[in-house]
Amino acid sequence: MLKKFIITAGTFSPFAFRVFSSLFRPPFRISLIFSQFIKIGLNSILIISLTGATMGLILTQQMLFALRQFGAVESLYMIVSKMISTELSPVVTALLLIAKNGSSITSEIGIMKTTNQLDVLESMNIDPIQYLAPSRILACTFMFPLLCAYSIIVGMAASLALIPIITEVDLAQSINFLIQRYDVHELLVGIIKSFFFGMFVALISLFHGFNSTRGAEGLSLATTEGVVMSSIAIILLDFILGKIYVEIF
Amino acid sequence: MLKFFNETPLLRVKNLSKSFGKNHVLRDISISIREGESVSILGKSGVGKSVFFKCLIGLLLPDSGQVYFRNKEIYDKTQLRVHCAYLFQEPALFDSMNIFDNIAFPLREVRKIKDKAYIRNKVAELLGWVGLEEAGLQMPHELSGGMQKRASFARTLAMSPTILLCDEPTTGLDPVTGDKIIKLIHKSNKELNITCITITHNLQQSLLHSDRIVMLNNGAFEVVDIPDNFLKSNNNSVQSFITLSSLRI
Repeated sequence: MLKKFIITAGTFSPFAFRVFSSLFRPPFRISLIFSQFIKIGLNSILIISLTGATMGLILTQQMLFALRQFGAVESLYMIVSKMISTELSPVVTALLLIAKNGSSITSEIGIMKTTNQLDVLESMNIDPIQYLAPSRILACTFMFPLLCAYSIIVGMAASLALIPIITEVDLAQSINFLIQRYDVHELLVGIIKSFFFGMFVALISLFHGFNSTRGAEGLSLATTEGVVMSSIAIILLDFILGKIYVEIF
Repeated sequence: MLKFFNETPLLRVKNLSKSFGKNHVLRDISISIREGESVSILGKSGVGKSVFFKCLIGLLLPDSGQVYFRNKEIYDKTQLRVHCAYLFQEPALFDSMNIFDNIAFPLREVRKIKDKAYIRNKVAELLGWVGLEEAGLQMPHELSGGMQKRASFARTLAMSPTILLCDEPTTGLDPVTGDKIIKLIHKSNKELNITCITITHNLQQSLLHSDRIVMLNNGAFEVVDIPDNFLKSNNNSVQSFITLSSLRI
């Protein structure tokens, strides 16, 4: 177990270096980047809308129960908004996108390796990393924050819609309370977190795809490991970035 | 028909060796191949025929040995990829692209051609060459194995190679389709003057279409000769190959 971890860590660093250096080496394949933005970004909007709205609704109901005990129902929307924007939306969006896009990146690259498509690229003197990685890294790095921002908006909108129905607090009161107590950097912190989440998810997924062993079992193992490692990385990163945020503000 | 070759070798391999752990797959093998020549490499499965190809173009790193192209030593094996096209055992078409884009890929990415009309005409010409005029808009999975192989062959020709490395091009195909592929390789050798090195198990086709036949056994080129002399060779591997190919002379 320890040996495997050391080997993986040893191979991950040079791989990450190659991937990041490929971002600055021409040719820059704009059409590939564009297609990945659509695949990772636009094609995820429905699932993000559903989870964002559900998250807002559930959190509102749960928090209402707790806040009633302290007689602080008027602060419900402000608390839900803070929780959604700083913690829940970035993490839940990232975990969903790992399942949807991270696994897809790993399996796609793994299949290309199994069916010799990567060897074909190499035989044509095209570096497979240079060809395949930049578009996926850029798409994840920039689409994760956008989708996170979208998820925050949807979640807050769902919560705002539910509050007048289940409480005696009206829309104006909720919004006023939010404006008084909500800082813009609380929105920014979630989006900044998502930026790093996207970068790491793409990097880890690519790493497991390029290092998958050939065959169905190897591919399935690589995909599973990619998803598990990405999820762990997100949780750890969330803790680290959260700590940095608390220290700064 | 008698063929005349320039005596200066196009490709010269000197003392090439490759081991995997204690398994010495290639031991100091040497060969000279002349421009426009068609050479077949025969040998049992697992003797290192594909490893030889992969070492030539740097997909695998040889332990020792030199490769010369037009009498100039190639230090970085990836340099040879500029002159070579590799037809893999599997068609290895890019499954995210249609057949047109697969064939246009080397034109756009390797030869850096930007002229869309030229690309369109060239791809149409190559599709015609391999008898797939109507398949341009189809995806690889929509084609039969033989058609995929022909599309893959068209893609290798799009690289305008000086040397064509064909790795068991008829594997998994019925005899009729296999014959079509062999004839296409032969046609490209005769009409386009592409130097062809073909790994095959089919002695009959080698005798018909090759200028020289090579027997790879125990990590060495045991026999390298013209088809007539190859058949008369006393070498045990050659004799057993002839016997098993039901071609008793």
